[in-house]
Amino acid sequence: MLWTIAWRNVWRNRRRSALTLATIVLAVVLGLLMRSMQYGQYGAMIDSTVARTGHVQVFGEGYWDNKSLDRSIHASAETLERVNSVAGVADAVPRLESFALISFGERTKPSGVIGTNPEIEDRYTALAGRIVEGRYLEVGERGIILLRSLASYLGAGIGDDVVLLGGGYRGQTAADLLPVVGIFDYTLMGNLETGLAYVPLDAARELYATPPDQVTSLSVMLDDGDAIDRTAETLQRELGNEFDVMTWRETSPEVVQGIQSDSVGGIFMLAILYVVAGFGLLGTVLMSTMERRREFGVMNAVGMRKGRLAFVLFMETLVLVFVGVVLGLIVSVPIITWFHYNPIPVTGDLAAVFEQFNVPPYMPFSVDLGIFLAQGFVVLVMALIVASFPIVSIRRLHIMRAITGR
Amino acid sequence: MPVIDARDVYKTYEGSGVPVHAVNGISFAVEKGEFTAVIGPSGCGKTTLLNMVGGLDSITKGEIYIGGTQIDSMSEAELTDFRLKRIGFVFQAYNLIPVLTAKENIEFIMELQGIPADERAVRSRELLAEVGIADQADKRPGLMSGGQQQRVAVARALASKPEFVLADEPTANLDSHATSDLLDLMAEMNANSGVTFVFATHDQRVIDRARRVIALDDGKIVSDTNAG
Repeated sequence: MLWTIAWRNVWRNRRRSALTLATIVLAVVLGLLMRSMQYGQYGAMIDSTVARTGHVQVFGEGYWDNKSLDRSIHASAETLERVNSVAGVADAVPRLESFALISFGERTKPSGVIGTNPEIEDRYTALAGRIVEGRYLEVGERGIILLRSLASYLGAGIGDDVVLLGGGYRGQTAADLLPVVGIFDYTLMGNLETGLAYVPLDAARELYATPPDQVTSLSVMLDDGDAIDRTAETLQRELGNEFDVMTWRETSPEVVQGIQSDSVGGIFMLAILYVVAGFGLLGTVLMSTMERRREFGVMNAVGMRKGRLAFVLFMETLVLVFVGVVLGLIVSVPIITWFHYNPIPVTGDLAAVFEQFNVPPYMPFSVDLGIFLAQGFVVLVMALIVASFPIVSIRRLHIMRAITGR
Repeated sequence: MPVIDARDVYKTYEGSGVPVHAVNGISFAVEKGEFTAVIGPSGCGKTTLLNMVGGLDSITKGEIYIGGTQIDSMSEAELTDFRLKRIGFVFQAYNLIPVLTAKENIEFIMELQGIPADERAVRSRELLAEVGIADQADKRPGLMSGGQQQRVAVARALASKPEFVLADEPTANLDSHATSDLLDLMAEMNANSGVTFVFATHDQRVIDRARRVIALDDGKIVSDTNAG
C-alpha cells in the first residue's frame, strides 16, 4: 500500500506534477540528444583515425620517436602470422612510409610516400573511393597515385612519370621514376602542409632499397574496438621488446585531447540542464512535503514509523523521476535512432572542415547504451539529492506541531 | 489493572522565559470499558493530557502506564509501534489519508501491523458495516460527508483492536444529526464490544452521553464524576 500511496500522491496535484515531468522530460531529451550527437561525432573522428592508423600499430623499437627507415621491421610471414594469431585481431595493414622529393618538370615538392598493400589499404581507408582522376593502385605494379594538391602543384597528370628522390634504408639513396596512375583527394591530419603519395608495397621497397618484407608499421585492425588496450598488451607480449605496440590513442593524442576538451563543454551544458531540472523537481517535492505536514503527523500518530513515511516520500520522488525518464526515453530514442541511420548532412564551410580532417560531412548520432545509462545515472543522483530534503523534513517532524499546524 | 494510569503528570512549556503549566500534577486512571469525557474550557489542558496519554506528546514529569506498560520513557520508534498496536485515535478534523479509499484507510493500519491481505479485507468490510458505511468502502474521503469521514476514522481507530480509543473533539466539525449518529455508534460499541473511549470535548452532547466526566481547569482536575 506504500507504493499505492506514493503513486497516488504523485498525481494528487496533476498540473504541478505534469509541469515537473515536463521539466524532467525536456532535460532528458535535450541531454540525450546532445550527448548522442557528441558521441556520434567522436565516433566518426575515431573511426577516421583508426582507419588511418589501425586500432593498434606495431613499429620497430624506437621508431615512433625517430621515424627512420633504419628502424623499420622485418614483417615476415611468420611475424604476420604471430600478429594475426592474437585473439581479436582482424587484419594487419603493412606500410612502408618515409619522405621523398617528388619532381615533375621544373617543380619539386617534399612528400610523404607510403608503400602499402592496395587491397588491404582500401579495405580500411577506402582509398580507392578517393580517386578523382585515373585509377587506383594494383598489387605489385610499378605506379604511383598523387594527392590532388600535389599533382596540381607539380603539373603532373595521368601517365606522366614523376621522379622520386630521397634517403633510403641504411644510408642508401632512394631514387625512382614512377608513372602516375591516379590522383586522389584525401587529406590526413598532420600532413596538411606536405604532399602525399601512395605506391604499392613492393615499389616502395624498391624505392627505399629495403630488404624484402620490410615495413615501418603494421596497422592492426581489431574485431572489437573496445578491446584495444587488452589486445595491445597481448601483442606486445607476443612480439617481444624488439617491437613497439602503440594504440591509436598514443599515436593520435590530438584526437583524444580534442574529444576530451569538447566533452568537458558538453558535460558543463548538461550540468546546467540538470541543475535547472533538479530545482524544478525540488520545488515540487518541497511544496508537496510542506503542504502535507498534517497528514504526515497523523500517519505517524496512528503508528507509521518515520522511516516508512520517508520511504513513501522517497518513492514519490523516484516515481516522478522514473516516469519522466521513461517519457524522455520514449521521445528521444526514436529521434536518436532516426538520426543514427540518417545522419544530418553538413554543408558549406563546416563540411570543408570535416573533409579536411577526413571525417565524413555528416552529424551521426550515437546509440551507444553507455550514453543512456550515464544519463540515467545522472538523473538518479539528482533524484537522490532532491529526495533527501523531504527525508530530512520527516526526520525532524514533531507530531503535535504537524497535526496542529504550528 | 487500569487501561490508563496517569500518575502526577506535568507538562510545562517554557514560553518567553515564563514556565506555563499546561498540565499541572494530574493523576487519574481509566478502567476497561469506560466511556469517559475529559472536559474543560479552552486551554485547560485536556488535549495536552490526551496527547500525553496517547504517547503523542512528551511529559515534563510524572509517569503514564498503558495496560501496565510505562510509556513515558519509551523511544520515539517504540512509542510509534505502541500507538499502532494499542491505541486508537479519532481526530477533530477526521484526518484520513486523502489518497486512500475508506476501505484502504482502515486496511492501512492493519498493513502497518503486518496483518495478511485477506484478513485485512475481511476485517475492513466488517468494520465499515459496523460503523454503517459499507456502501462507501471505495470512496475517497473527499467524496464523503464529514459524518461519514468521522465514521471511517472510528473504524480506522478500531482496526488495530486497541486497548482504548482517544477521541479529541470528535464532534467539533459535525452537525447535530451527524454528532448524534456518531455518539450513538460509539456508545453502542462501548456497550456491545466493551471498547474503551476517552474523549476530550466541550460539546455538551458528548458530555451528556459520557458515563464518567473528568473536568479540568488550569491544568488540574477539578472534578471527576460518574454518571452511573
